[in-house]
Amino acid sequence: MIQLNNVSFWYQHNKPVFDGMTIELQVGKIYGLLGENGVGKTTFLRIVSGLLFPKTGTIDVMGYEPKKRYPAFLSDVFYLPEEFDSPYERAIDYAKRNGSFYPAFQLDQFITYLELFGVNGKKKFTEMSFGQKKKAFVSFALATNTKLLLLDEPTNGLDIPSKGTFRRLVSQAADESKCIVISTHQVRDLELLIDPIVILEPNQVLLNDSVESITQKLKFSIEPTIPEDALYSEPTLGGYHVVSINKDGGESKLNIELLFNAVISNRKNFTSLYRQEK
Amino acid sequence: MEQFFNGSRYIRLILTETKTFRKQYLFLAAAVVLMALLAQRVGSNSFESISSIILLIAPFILYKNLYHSVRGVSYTMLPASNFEKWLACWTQCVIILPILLLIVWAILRIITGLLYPSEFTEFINIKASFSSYWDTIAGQSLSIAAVMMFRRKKWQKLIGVLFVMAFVGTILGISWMGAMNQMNEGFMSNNWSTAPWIIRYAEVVISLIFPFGLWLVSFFKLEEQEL
Repeated sequence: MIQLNNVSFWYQHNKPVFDGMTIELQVGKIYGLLGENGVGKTTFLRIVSGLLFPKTGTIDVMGYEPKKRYPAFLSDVFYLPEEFDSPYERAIDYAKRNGSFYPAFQLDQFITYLELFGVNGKKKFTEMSFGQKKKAFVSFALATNTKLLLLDEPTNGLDIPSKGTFRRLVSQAADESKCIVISTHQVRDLELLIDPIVILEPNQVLLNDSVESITQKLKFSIEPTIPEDALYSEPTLGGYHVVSINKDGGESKLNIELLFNAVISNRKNFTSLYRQEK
Repeated sequence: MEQFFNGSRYIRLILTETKTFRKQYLFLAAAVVLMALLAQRVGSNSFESISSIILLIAPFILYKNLYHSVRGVSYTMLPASNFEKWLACWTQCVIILPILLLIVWAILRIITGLLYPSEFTEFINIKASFSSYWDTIAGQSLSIAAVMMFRRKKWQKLIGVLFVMAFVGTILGISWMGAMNQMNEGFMSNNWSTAPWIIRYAEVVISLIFPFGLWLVSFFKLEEQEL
């Protein structure tokens, strides 16, 4: 679905955002794109959507080169940025007008999603709160039924019930013909939704692995004391959250926040762990 | 070909843009009416003064957010080709807005005729109107190129470029005049006789650059812009 080969990108020549990055994202999955601030998550989404062009390397998205912005490519990609403009029109009118450019757009679906989010489609965007606008745009994004959906911090600004609705709608929308990439800092909001997980580090991809594969390699547990072989630990009630190598092959429940903290604080170990695995 | 141009998609894009720009169009039409009220009448040349100024600045008003990293995203990601987007911009600036201004002008001209029947010798001077329309469109191509070339501070940068061009032109003109003065009488007369050819050649080049060359440049700039 998405293949980046040796891609480099920079805003300033001496400060590369990506330096020879190679990554493949497959169809039929909901990717969680994680990383610290400024590591290039939004840049990654913008490169994949064709808004930014790589300085070196090649990109293939559904057989297209995104920078050419062919209509056939654009009609199968929807990128929802973290910040967006407020069109001076009713959400329903916006959806009708813009939806006509997307062959698989379903107006009924859009209206249903709006109802589930509790947003009045007859309201103008300029009269909506940030959260309501976000819900309207998420509804539109899902109703376009594009094969590739790129969502940048989609749960920012959503209230607690709406986060649940979002999870439900995204999991319903996902199927074997689609790829959804969600960039987020709110990992707890999407813990049960995203799989595989991609963690970016400055210039590179640090981890791109499925939940199953991660839990085969790593063990997430609560221990009364920090074990000697712990890769990462942090205090919790009654002991420590611990990430360690899964030596006995037992099952454990992935804690994405813990994984992220472990990876970020222990880059070298994780890089070597994944290189060994490969 | 489908990836380059599709008639139905282009029409939808035009309709989408026209709806988006409706407030700006009303504002620009109101400016023409306001100027007519201040002058108390409108002349027989439909593209004189205020209409020409509006056509020159319109691309900056209509497409100010084209490359905006937030406001420009939905337009750039809209499934239409770069050529269709460029052609839609061209259609708005060169066809639709002039037609709108022409309609407003015609209405005002009728009112002027009713108020000042003695001054009303001809409804429209087609030759003068078309000539000033074409001159304005040629000038407007510079605005369209600036809109598609520069990410931010578009009109300020255009003024800067024009200032540099005027400065270089003045220097070249002064140098040319100085060289002419140093030449002898005979050569001067020979040179003057050849001057119209140079001027004609320059005129052809300029009329190709303004507007056709700049329209072409604006299309290629649109294609390569990132946001």
